[in-house]
Amino acid sequence: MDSPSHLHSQKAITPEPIIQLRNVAFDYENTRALSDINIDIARGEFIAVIGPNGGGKTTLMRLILGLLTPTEGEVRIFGEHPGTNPDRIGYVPQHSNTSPGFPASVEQVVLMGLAQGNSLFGKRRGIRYTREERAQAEHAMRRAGVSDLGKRRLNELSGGQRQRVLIARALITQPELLILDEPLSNIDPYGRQCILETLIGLDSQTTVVMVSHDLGITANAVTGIIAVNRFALASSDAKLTPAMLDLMYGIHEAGCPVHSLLQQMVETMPSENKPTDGKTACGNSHDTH
Amino acid sequence: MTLTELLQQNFMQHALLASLLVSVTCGVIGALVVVNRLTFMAGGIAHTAYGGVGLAFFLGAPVLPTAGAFTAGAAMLLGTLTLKKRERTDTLIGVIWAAGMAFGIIMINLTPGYNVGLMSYLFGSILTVPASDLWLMLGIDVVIVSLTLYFYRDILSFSFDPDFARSRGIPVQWLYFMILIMVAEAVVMMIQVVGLILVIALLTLPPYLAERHTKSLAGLMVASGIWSFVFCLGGLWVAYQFDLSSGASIIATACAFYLAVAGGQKLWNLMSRQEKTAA
Repeated sequence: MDSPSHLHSQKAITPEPIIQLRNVAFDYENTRALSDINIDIARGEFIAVIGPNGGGKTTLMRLILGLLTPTEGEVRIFGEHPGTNPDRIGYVPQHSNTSPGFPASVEQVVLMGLAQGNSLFGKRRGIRYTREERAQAEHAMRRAGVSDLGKRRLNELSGGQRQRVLIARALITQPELLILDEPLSNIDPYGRQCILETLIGLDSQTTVVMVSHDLGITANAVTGIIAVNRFALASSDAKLTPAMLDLMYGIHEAGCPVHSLLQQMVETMPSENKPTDGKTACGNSHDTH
Repeated sequence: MTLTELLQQNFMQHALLASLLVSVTCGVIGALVVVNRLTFMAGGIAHTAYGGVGLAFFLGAPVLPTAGAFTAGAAMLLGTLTLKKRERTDTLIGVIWAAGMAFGIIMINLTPGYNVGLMSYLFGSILTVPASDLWLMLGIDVVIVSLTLYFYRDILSFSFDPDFARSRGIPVQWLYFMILIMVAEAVVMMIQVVGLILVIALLTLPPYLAERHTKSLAGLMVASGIWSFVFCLGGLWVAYQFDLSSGASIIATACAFYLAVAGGQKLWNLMSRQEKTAA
């Protein structure tokens, strides 16, 4: 197998990638979680980050967000250190990481996306939100297809609706880069479809990086895949390569049940989750800003 | 003594004022403790405060300011340790909890003479709050409410989703320490009312009761404060009527309310389900 470090994305030739990782490694205490990661992601791409559980997908996202600092190498987002421009990046964690019983309406959760901490003495302060801020929230809720849920509490919503509320919270600053950590986990098929439609309906200039351990998410909208399992391999189209499968699940000889399963994955993968035009079953119009 | 006469008594006026002042802090801090799941941490901080009380007795220093400084230090230590060893949070809280109490007991042992006032710090003594402590309580109220109002959006975002808050550049560790220090000061303030052993009940029961009917963190803080004041007044009445300890009476009143509301809710749900089944 080729060394993963030499197989980074073909997007490296695209001018000014908005996400750049160079020779990045990360250790959790004495355990190496990621090694030799070289990735370039250009503006407007829809990248699926896939790999087995514990393979380092979430660690990779946290490095990009600036929540972790690499042990080795360098991460650049919009040409700067991660975390320098929080308004340009929208982060969507798994809805199960948040408490549904939290005392907040959907609108208030979305407005939390405006919290700004570069300075503790910044401008956006106080309990009450301005009319302009509420209009921003309304716009974000509309884009995520949850505008009719504004007054509801999170514990009154389904998992899929809660996830879209978190997408709306990330969209409120109209970010150029949207990073989603397993947004389709613990969501029923209808909810998954709604979330994918929301993401597909975003402005073509919005770059989406979505983590999933589910290979089936590689929708038609996906423009590239990054397979992560301590190392990373990137492809410039939405197709898995044998090298990626080897990286994620190891090498299995023909005749082995795992080999057949992986072959089946590769053959059946594309064509799912096709984008739809105009008004969707989830009630959100595709909206560009 | 009639109620009017009772209300004219200086000690009762102080007790009512103390109830009001404590309820403000209790509402704000109780809500933060519950939504941030810091109940065990707050329990640890409360018991560590005994070390501060013991130290004050040993040094012959004023109790509340000494305990306030000591408990704030303990809260900072707890915050630092739990941030470094997140997976051992419960163990570390348990250790600091016991260490604080042990330190307090040793300090009391080393203090000459019999310290008759010590029990009031363990179980509260709202009927003996001096005017100087009321001023201190007012000061703590002003600081806690001002900080919470100013940093409300950061606190809200941090409490709901710390990772997202960090991704927005909010200094979550700074906020975490600020909340812990506010918990420490709230605990010291409440020691006078219910005692450090019962503090945790007055911090957590009001938000438990209020959270089902509130749609915002600020609403939860206000509703918890109101419940807290109701419990303090109810507890004072019970203590006076039956000649019981005021701290224990306040907590017993809170527990009785909680059981009545939770039981009533269950009964209501059961009846509604039966009506639906019958229909």
